Amino acid sequence: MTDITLHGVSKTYDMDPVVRDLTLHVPAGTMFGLLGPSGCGKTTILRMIAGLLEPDCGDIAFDGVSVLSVPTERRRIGMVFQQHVLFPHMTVEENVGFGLRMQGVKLRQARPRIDEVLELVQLGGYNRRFPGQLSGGQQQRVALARAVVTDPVVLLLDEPLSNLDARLRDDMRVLIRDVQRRLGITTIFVTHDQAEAIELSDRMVVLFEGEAAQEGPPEEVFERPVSSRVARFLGSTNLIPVQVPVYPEEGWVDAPFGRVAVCCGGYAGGSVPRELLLSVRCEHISLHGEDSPGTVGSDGINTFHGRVLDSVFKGGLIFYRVDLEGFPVDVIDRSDRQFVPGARVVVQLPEQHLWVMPAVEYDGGPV
Amino acid sequence: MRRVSVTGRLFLVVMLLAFAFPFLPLLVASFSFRWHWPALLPTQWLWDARETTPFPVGWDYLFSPISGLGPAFLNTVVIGVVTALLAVVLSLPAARVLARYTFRGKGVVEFFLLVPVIVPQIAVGMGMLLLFMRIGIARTYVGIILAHLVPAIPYAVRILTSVFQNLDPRYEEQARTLGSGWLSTFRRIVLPMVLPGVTTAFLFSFLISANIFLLTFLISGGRLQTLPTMLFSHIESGAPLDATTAGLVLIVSVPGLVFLMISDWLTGDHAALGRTSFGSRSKKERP
Repeated sequence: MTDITLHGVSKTYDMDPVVRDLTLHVPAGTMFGLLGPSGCGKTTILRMIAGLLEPDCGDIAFDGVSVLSVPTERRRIGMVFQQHVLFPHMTVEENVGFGLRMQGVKLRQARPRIDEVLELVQLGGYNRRFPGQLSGGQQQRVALARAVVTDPVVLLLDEPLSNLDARLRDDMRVLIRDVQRRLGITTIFVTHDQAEAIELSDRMVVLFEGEAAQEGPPEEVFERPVSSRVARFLGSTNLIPVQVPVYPEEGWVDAPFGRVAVCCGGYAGGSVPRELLLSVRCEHISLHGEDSPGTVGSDGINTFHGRVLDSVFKGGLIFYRVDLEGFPVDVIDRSDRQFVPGARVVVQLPEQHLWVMPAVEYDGGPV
Repeated sequence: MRRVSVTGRLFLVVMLLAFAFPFLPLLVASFSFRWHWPALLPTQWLWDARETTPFPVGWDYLFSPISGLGPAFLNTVVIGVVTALLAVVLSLPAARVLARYTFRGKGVVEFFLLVPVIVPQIAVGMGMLLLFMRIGIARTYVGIILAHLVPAIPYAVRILTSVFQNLDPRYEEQARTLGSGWLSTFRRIVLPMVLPGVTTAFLFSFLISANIFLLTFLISGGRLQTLPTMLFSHIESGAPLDATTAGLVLIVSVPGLVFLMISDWLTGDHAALGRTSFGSRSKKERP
């Protein structure tokens, strides 16, 4: 297994910086997600790792050895492109065997290995088909088989699911995860879909304008975003502007609807800015009827009175918008009881799931 | 295969007649000995006049060694094939660059590639003749082929540029990620995929070469005969359409027709392959 390091990598197209001073470490054998909106430079990063593009400055190393002087064809990578993936004039077998043929293996000798990887992507017996006779999902699977057939040191996937429809995408996601686990190959994939990144990756990085905004395990990025931008990009969160009280009290902030107890924040020591953002995931907020003698007393910590503005039932989940003293909060609830719009409810914000971060983005400074 | 509608078929027949009709009088004329206005058919056929003429006429003349048809035919084919091969080989890299990259002065390069088509051939030919005489390749095959490349290359570059514009560069990148160097990528991936376009470019270059009169005439100085120069020498004589000229005109069309059929056969095969490969994206996954 190989680990990959990018050190101070930058790339500029026509005076326009696409990747800026990026430093990343991809541990050996992990599934690493590059997540970001389109134009954030994630595909450029992947192409630089593949050697299809040369960085303007910085270094890319496999197992600590710089590969910048190694051309693509000798970097021992496997890559799956977004589309136009298979060679249309070759059969499935010839496509998958192409990499082996480049290593001087005859097709006949390569056949057992080809069958093995086709079996891995659940396409055993498709050897003699032409790409044109396969569906989009099958083509993508053949491309995956072709990328791993030579036992590459790193597998690069460029939005491998974006051209598939929803159901196929789920199947393919499971398959990719399965193939990666079985081969234990260091894998870097690019996506703009936060759900895909969170579900697939062991570690991920969120990129904005060619810069790494946050890097870490998906749970950490999801639960404890470093900035409102990361929080917004990952979606389904409430961002509530809060202030540190005039006479600061440890662990308390003032929200538009009252004082909230928090236990942790996305800033470390030093000067705590006064203007903060409180992030709370929609699914972590719980709702109770005002009249119900529930487990949470209406005067408990972090409980607030509100009114349901809207409720939508989406198969097992209920999406609410609740008014808390003029401030709208989105809630996703799993309970079988549905509150109608206009109902008075008690809203509880769980202290351990509250996350405070600076309201404005900093250039340096404690974030 | 879809069935063609009645109006469609009618249209096809009319089109075919329109293209084939000019050849009919030629065919008749090539077998006539005397054919004066207003007679609808020749008043005397060639085979009736055979015994009375002192020397062979029409097909008899064309197929006799004294006509020089054989060498002219051979010259046309050899010069055409070599010109077309060179045009395609020289145009391939240029077309790939023009299709894929933007660079300073690209517009100028594209303009200069078109110049030989815009500038009158006599100007190009006279200039080349002076140069070729100085370096001693006037009146040689090399000189004629070089001259033929001038009008052939612009067309080949045009055709191949559009071919490369339609070839996704990711196929080449994909091949490289699989360990294929540039030569192997070109041979195994690029060439098979652009073959239909290359065949078209080859055919066009050949047809252009096979129809050139002026450049051949200037550079060869009459020493090397091709079918067009042979034909023009007959027309020059001022005679009305005689059997010999009519036959010659028909023969001049032969190489083009043969190459059209070859290219149709070649590209048809690969076009079918291309259809099955590219048209699949819209297909739904079968359960």
